[in-house]
Amino acid sequence: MFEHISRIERIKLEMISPLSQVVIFHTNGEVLDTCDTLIKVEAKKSVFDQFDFLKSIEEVFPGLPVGEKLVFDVVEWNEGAEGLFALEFVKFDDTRIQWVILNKTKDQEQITKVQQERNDSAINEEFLEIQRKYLEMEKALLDYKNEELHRVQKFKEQFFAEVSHEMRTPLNSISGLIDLLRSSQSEGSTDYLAALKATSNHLNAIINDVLDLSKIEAGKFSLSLSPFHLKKTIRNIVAGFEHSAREKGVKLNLEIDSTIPVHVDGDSVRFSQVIYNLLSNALKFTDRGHVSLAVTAERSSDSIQTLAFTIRDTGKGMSDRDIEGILEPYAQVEGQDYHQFGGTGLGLGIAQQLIQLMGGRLGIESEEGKGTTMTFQLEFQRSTLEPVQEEDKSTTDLSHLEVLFVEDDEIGTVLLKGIASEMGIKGTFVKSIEAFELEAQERPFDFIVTDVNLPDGDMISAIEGLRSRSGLNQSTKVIFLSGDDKEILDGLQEIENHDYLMKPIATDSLIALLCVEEPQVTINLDNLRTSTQGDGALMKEIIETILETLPLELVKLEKAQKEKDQVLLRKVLHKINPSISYLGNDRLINQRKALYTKVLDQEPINNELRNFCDAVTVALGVLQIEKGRL
Amino acid sequence: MSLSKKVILIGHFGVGKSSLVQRFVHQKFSDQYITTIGVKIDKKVVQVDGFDVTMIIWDIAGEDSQKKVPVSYRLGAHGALYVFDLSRPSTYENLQSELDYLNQVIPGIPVQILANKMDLVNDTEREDILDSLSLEEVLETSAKTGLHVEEAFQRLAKKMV
Repeated sequence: MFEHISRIERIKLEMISPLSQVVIFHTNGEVLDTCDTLIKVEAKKSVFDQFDFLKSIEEVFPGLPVGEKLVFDVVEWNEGAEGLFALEFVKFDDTRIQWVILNKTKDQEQITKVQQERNDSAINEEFLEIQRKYLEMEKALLDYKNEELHRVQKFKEQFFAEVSHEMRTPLNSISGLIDLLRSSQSEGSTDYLAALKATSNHLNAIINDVLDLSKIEAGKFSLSLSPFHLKKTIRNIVAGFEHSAREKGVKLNLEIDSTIPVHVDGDSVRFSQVIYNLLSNALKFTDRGHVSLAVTAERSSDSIQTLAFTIRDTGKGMSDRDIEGILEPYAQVEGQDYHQFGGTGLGLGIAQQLIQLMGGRLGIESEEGKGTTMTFQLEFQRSTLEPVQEEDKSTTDLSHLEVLFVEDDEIGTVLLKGIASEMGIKGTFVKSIEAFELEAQERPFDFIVTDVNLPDGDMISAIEGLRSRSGLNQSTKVIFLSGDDKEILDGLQEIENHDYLMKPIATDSLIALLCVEEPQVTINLDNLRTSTQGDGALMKEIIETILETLPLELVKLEKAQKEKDQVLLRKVLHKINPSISYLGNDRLINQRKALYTKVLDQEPINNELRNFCDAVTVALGVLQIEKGRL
Repeated sequence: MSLSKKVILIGHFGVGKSSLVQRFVHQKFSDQYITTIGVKIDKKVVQVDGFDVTMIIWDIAGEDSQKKVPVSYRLGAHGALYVFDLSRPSTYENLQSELDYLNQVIPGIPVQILANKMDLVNDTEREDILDSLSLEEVLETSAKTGLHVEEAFQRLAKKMV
């Protein structure tokens, strides 16, 4: 028994390691020997018949090389004994197999725990990986959505800007041409023209709405600050609605707190837009009853005045849900008849955003069938300046002005010619920079009114060139016309003495600029300096003589014209020639020359003399200042 | 006439190999996950074409690669059930290379592939996964519901006989 096991091994098996067992069997399965310490193994019988798992690997043993071990680290056993075992088979000669069984059941819990932790950890890692991939996909999706949003937003901005830009020019022309036609057509066509004018104004308003919203959304909208007459502004807006309110049978009320300041600093155009949009909306949805605007003074300090505005109507009203959506761009209350009420749906949204830009917040309370109340508060700075008084354009005479118009667009040119003709302006029209350069060197102009982009270049650069050269028109005021925002016109801000009008230009805006801006009269004492060889005392003496005598000569000229005394006119115009030359103003020199020629030719001179005298008077004022500097 | 065949169950850990044996041999299922240590041996007799086939099922501890499985456990195997988990991509991402390896170490061994835990995925997901694998004779199983479990072992038994 156990000859193949050393004595020491036997003692270990039986005494020290009672959880072990050794079975010796023939490669054909016959059990030759066993110590039966763990499981019952019957001798002389086939081990393959006693244990299924050995049966399943029966064919392995005959071919197992002598001395080679076949090891199963851990086998969960359920044949003859329950538990966890380590099995080792060794073929120690040609026919016999030694099978060592070690019971590891006592370690099972620990082994299982370690293994399970390992597997759990690995599975957790898998799930974390899946989560990470999921998050990556979500991020990619968000990035895509974000890009898409930006793309749509950019498209929207471009769309608004481009469409509006494209529509401005023809609308400008339509509007301007109608202005001209209105002044020349017979009474019978006035109604049609008025309707055409209203339609083009409406279209223009829609485009401006779209453009305003685009600018606000793009964060490119800025408010200007200038003094304006608050009460007058509000009254004018309300007066504009009186006719349509009367036609609808709706009473229009205006209540203005008598304590509100007369003049405030603010953006009168945008403030007017807010009031206009809210009143227009209220009136649009009110078929009976009244629409009212109340302006009350709230908190005030020495410099700041808070005003509360309330627009109340007895119209169709809105549900809470409608109110939520009404401020969204393009929103019109669900279910309402678009054709009945019209509009882009932008008005309220724009009003709300403008109020926010001005530091206020629009509040809406409404009840379906009863009406709506809209409220907001704005802070205004009390104005220390009186607002610029608007001139009555209808009585303005601009026949003294010589203006160089630079415009390549045919319709735009027609419009500008119409304005020049209507206002009596002496206009010179060119279509290119090359032609502009020639005209600007030819004679002085009071204004240069120009498109920015011309076929042969941009006029901003051309004007920069003009400003950098001494000579005619170096400092002549320039009014730029463009369909682009002035912010994006490179170099515009650096141009001295300029103004800017966005196309479509309103006829009134251009006339206002030409009216409000007095042509600047400059003098150049170079001729005098040359004649006196730079002798300051002598120059001063001659200037004093001019200052004393020239005003008297101007009086004589006016008297001569009044009395139609052609001889005196000729004499005085001849006499003042040196004085005018010393003033060094090309325009005055040319005017005097032209007047003298007309007098010689017995031609009427009408307002030209008056304009000439006015300009000389201004020049004498400048000369007085120059004298003080000598 | 009776035959005794060694069947090995292989695949990643946690794919449900032991649960399939539990369902097949003992008609039981437990949600509790108890990892298999080493190898667990069970048997069941199935009838195939008039033969009593005793399937000695060696449920081998799961590994993410068959190269890690001790050689001794595969010795003398007559057939294999390769199990993967439909809800865990990592258990079938390298399926083809695993099968190639198995065929390399036990040339010509009959294999039945089981897509287990089909109760955890919807029809679309299941179809997408199986389409992506491009394998023939994949049997979808659920040890939890017992779906196709008996058929899985029967199919393998038939391949082995």
